[in-house]
Amino acid sequence: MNRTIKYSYQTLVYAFLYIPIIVIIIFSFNDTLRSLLWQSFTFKWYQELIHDTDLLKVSWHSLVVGVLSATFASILGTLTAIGLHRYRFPGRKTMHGLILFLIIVPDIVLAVALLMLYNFFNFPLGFWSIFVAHTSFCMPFVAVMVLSRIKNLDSELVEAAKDLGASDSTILRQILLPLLLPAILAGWLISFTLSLDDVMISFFVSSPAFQILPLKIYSMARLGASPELNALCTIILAITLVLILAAHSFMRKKSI
Amino acid sequence: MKRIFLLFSLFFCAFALADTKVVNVYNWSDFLPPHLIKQFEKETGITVNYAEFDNNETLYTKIKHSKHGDYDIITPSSYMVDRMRQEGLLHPIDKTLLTNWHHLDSFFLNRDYDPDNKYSVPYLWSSTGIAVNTLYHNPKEITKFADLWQPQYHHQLLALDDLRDCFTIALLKLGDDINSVNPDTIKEAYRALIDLMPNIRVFNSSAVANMFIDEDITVGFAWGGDTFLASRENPHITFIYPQEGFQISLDCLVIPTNAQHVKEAHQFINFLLRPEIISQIPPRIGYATPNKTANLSLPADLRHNPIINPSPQVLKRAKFQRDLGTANRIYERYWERLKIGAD
Amino acid sequence: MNDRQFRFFTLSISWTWLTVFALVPTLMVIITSFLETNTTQNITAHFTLENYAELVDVAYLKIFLRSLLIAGSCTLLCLIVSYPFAYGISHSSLRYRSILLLLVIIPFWTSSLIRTYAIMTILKTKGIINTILLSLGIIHQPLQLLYTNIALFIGLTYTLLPFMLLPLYANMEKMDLTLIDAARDLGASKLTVLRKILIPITMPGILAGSMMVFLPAMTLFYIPNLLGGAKSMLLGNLIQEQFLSANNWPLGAASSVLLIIFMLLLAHWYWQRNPDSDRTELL
Repeated sequence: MNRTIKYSYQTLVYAFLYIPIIVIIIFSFNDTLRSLLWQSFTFKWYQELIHDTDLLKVSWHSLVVGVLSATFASILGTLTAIGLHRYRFPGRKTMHGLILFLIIVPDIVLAVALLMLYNFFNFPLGFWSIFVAHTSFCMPFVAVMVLSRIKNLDSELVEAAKDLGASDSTILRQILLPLLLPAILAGWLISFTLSLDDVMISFFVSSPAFQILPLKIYSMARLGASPELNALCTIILAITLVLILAAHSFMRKKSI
Repeated sequence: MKRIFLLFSLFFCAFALADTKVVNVYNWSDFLPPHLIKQFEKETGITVNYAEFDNNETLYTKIKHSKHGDYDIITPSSYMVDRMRQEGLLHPIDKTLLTNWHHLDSFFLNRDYDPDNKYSVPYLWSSTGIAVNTLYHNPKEITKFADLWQPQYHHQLLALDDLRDCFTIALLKLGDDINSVNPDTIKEAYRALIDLMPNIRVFNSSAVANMFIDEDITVGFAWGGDTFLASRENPHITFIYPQEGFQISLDCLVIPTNAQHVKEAHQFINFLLRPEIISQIPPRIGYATPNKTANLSLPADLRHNPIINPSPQVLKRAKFQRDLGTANRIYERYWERLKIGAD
Repeated sequence: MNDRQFRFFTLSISWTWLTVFALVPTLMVIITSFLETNTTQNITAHFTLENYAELVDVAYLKIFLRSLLIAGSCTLLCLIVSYPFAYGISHSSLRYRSILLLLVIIPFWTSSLIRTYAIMTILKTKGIINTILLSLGIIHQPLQLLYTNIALFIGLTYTLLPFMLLPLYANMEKMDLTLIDAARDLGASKLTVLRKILIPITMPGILAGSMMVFLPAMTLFYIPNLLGGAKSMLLGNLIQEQFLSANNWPLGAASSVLLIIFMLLLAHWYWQRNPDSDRTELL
């Protein structure tokens, strides 16, 4: 490929990926309500966000749901990965299949499935319904990441520990967990990001009593573009960027 | 390990304890200025959980499936009040708790959708007419809903994402009753809407004001409230009350049967009945209030603004919506088919 | 905890969670798709094939065709754009590669809702595209882009492009370049190399990427809701509408089952083409 063509093509694709986001960021600092013309630099829209108590509340909700479901998903996912790797049991293939199914199945299917489950068992929509839903769709990602890490581990290490009389739970705590920690942490960060971004599933299984940030963004976006929303998106973009960089550095040696 | 569990249980407890005095409000999108919610929270110490919906049918589905009283206050339109009341989904209003009841205009009370207002409190109202950007279209060419069928509006119209509003304009064009339950009439209206489909660019009812302000949409049928807001930001927007007549949507405050915070809900309703509170809403969202005292306190230009408050002559053409009983299902089937683009 | 207890503990926790919150709900969707609704719109326990019969109706077929068409062409466009791009990064010098890759990973993990909103602000009548085109004198009337299928298409492509880029990159990175050089030395034309070597080798990446673009393109209901017009309803919107506003859960469930079938077919195809691939590679 011709060098110039190659570089200009790459630049073009990167421009396509980044220009819309950059436009949002720039106009979140623009001191005008509707026009696209640049007026002057302002933090006005950010100040308005800070004074929006409802926004602070839903952000807090999102943070709590994100932290809790990412943590739970990490625990569950790690246990599942270890179980899948270490044990041979009936239904092992089914479990593996189920996890892959959960990863590739479109979110909307999971959303209606959980809505039906909650509805059938009279489970109220609110914090718990969202927490369970988020844990459910994050857990397979952690499981898969941990699993691919375990496979690359030196299996002799575990065998040696076993020969020396260590129990499975000791092996988990003393050997596997420390070795798997980078993968688990990366899985945690990814779960947290997924939870923070999820609209599809939360849209179905939430109630007004417990709203979360992505739903608030969605309902703002449905009202049309606004500088406050630009500012809000900019903040979230910044947070996501930090999370990605963190996850990236954990997974550095292994490409995601 | 133990420490982590302890931390978790603390986290959960903080959650469980946090909500003691709350009221869960489910309202139309952009229908209550946030500072009023804050004021209510400050005055009463009750936390307001607030969420928004876009159309009556979504609201109905949510209420129908909510068995735990997730909602304490909802705001269906009059016809939906009628339907929910008949299906036993509503909790009676205790008027002795509503000290501000007497401010309401009797014109809006005791209508057939809810005799004696046993279950509902009128909240805000608006009419459905035609909104036009005069930069793009000559408003003199549009005097009635039937004009929207002209080919010159190909792929331009905004249609409200609302079953009753869409069918109402078709029924009015055909000269029929807007509350018709005759299957043949409904079918005719459906055919008329199919004919309108090539002109419809988008179904939407939440971003209406913004669409008109930013000129993403330049003509369509819209609620007066949204059009009023748009006209303040973009002077080229006008509102037309069609000759065939037009419908008035009256949105009401009601409490679902299984609401868990009935007392707080009444407090919230009473708060919204206070003239100095409700009078802050029309200037901000463009909908008119059925609160007599509040109306008198509005600035004159707002009180006489034709988009918010049509003149008595125009109001004579106004029609109220009623519940359609078993015909609902027929409308819904056609509506669904219309939206998915069937012929 | 002894080993047996530990094994029991680990497996039962995983199984319980997966059964209760994945297997049972999915089965409920499948069962409900065979049930009837009565006149008061409640689900009744009567077996029926009515819901599937209804989906074969012309009106719904239209939605499926539109979903297939839009999602399919979006996938194809993403593939055409991504292929040379991913090839370019995977063979750029090691010094820049990780930063170039990071620039792809960032949009991959950024909220697609926010990215959809970004596209919305750009396509508006008074958005940046119209502003630029007008000021350059290329157009004299603003283009009406928002609320059309064009906007939907741009939005889907923009939002989903990273989901094609990343799997393709992961696949190409592992590719052995000497193979191409050898073929070139033996006199194969560029086209032959592409057809006979590159495409077959990168097939797993192509299929994985296509799956990650195609299925979301049909189901991310908020993209058509925010960008599309009156004729932009896709499969996801249909399901959303059936569940949340038309209140016809069995019909919505039947549409979901159809979606699952689509997905399984694609997955089956993928694994048949790469029987020995590590199945976690989809990530």
